[in-house]
Amino acid sequence: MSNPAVMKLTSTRVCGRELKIEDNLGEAIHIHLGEIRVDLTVEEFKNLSDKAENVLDQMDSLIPSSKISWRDLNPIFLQNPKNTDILFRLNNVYITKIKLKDILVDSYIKLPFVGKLPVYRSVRYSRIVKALNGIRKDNDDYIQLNELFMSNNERITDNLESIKKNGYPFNKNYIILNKQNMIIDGQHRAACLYHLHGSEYEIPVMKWEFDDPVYVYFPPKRGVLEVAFRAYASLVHREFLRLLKVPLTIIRIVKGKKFGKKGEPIKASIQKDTLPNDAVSTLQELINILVNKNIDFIVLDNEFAQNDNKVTLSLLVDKASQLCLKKCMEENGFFGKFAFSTDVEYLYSLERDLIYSNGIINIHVFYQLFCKSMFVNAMVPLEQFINQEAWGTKQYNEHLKCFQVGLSVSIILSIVQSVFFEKRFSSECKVKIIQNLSLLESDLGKKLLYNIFYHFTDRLLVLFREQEFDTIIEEYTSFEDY
Amino acid sequence: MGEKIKNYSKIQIGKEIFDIELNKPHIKGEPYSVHIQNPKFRLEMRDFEFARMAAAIIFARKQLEKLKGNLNE
Repeated sequence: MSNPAVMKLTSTRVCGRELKIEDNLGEAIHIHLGEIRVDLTVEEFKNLSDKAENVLDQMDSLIPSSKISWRDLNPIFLQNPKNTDILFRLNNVYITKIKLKDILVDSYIKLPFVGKLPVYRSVRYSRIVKALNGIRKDNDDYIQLNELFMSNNERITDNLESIKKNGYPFNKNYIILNKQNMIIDGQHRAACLYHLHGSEYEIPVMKWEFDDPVYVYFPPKRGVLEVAFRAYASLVHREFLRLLKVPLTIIRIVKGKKFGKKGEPIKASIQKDTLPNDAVSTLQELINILVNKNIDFIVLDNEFAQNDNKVTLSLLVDKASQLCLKKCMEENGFFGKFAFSTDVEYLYSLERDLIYSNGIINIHVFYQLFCKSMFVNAMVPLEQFINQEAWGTKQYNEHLKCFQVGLSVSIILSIVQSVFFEKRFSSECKVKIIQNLSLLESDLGKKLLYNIFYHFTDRLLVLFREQEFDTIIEEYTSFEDY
Repeated sequence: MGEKIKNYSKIQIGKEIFDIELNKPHIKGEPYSVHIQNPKFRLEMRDFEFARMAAAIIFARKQLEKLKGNLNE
């Protein structure tokens, strides 16, 4: 099953494996622990989280300090692998007062020729204080777990507004420091308070202390000598890596000349000046060549577009024709390259779409039907059943003199385009759906839709019937009857 | 195997019912052990790892409610 609407709700590490919880819209809530997956209905997941709260309440008795309950802590903090461990190994907890300038956060110093060196510094050097003063890069680049649909910057604004509205500490949620005044939890709040009140402002904080040195994992504040030593070590390390590149590059060049490079685009194997660039200038010529070469392909008509005298043709090509197609493209002056090589990830499959182009005609080649994922910048292959139907229901186009995708799959592709790519239904798509509603409501139509929308299929058909197109995406994301 | 201290709770997934139980540590001074088990299956982890998993589940529900609204309604 490859659901194009998977929302990762959270992830952490448990028992040395990744624990990942995700909502597969219309299908199930998945809890992954390493290679194991548990499928839950929304109701089961709701019950599970109620039980988790109940068990954590009982586990409060295992925390050595009675002054702490898990309910006083942010779940984002608690699920961080660094934090739950120390919570159970606490020795002493107390509330004290401290000036904001004395609170330390993880920051860095920039050294000439060395670059950034991580150190603990006063809260005034925090990436969050910098962001509040308009220098946002460090904070924007920082990777952290936020609430859904919340950016790093929005998290700061959210904290600032909360402090302005509710004050600090709100609901006994203190900033937590270790013995050396380093922040364990609450950097956003400390930075916002610093921004509002300045460095001399005194606030109550909660201090956590540990007996066992194993759990005092925070490094001590670095002295000048240590900083100098680390800077020197970093410089030597970097120069060593740079020198190491020389023999590696030589090995790569020698190996490349001898054996060739794997996955090299076909363009590299042809001398550019030998290519007949203008050999194929019309779409029909190209189609005739593909047909004559016995390449098994279907034109995906809803991808068909013509702009500025350049033609873009999207084809679904049989995997078995792959080599034959590459050879044919070489002979006719088309170059192949990966369509999305940098910013789009492919999920569940290593298959990629290819673009062949001779400057006049662009051919977009798919070996299977893909769909843009709803929540991440990634492509997901559509179910095998839909791919099989595309081949099984292909129709001959008298005008193009080749096969094009059949009506049932064509409508499905239009719906996929509207929901996952455009996030709205165009008027052309609405007309197409209304005119072919009986086909979508047939057993085949339902089966095709079910392979994408799962338990939401019946409700989707009702919304199609009632022509409530504008509410479809909202209802789909909030649907919970699965 | 660890010695059982108490049953924390029972959870049902599909038709399967699992106990969540607290067990004594395997070695004195080590973290307690938590078992999620039924007669045919057992997942064993240390107390803080279970707490981490429970916190992740609670946080995931909070995230899910942002997507779907309050699940108690």
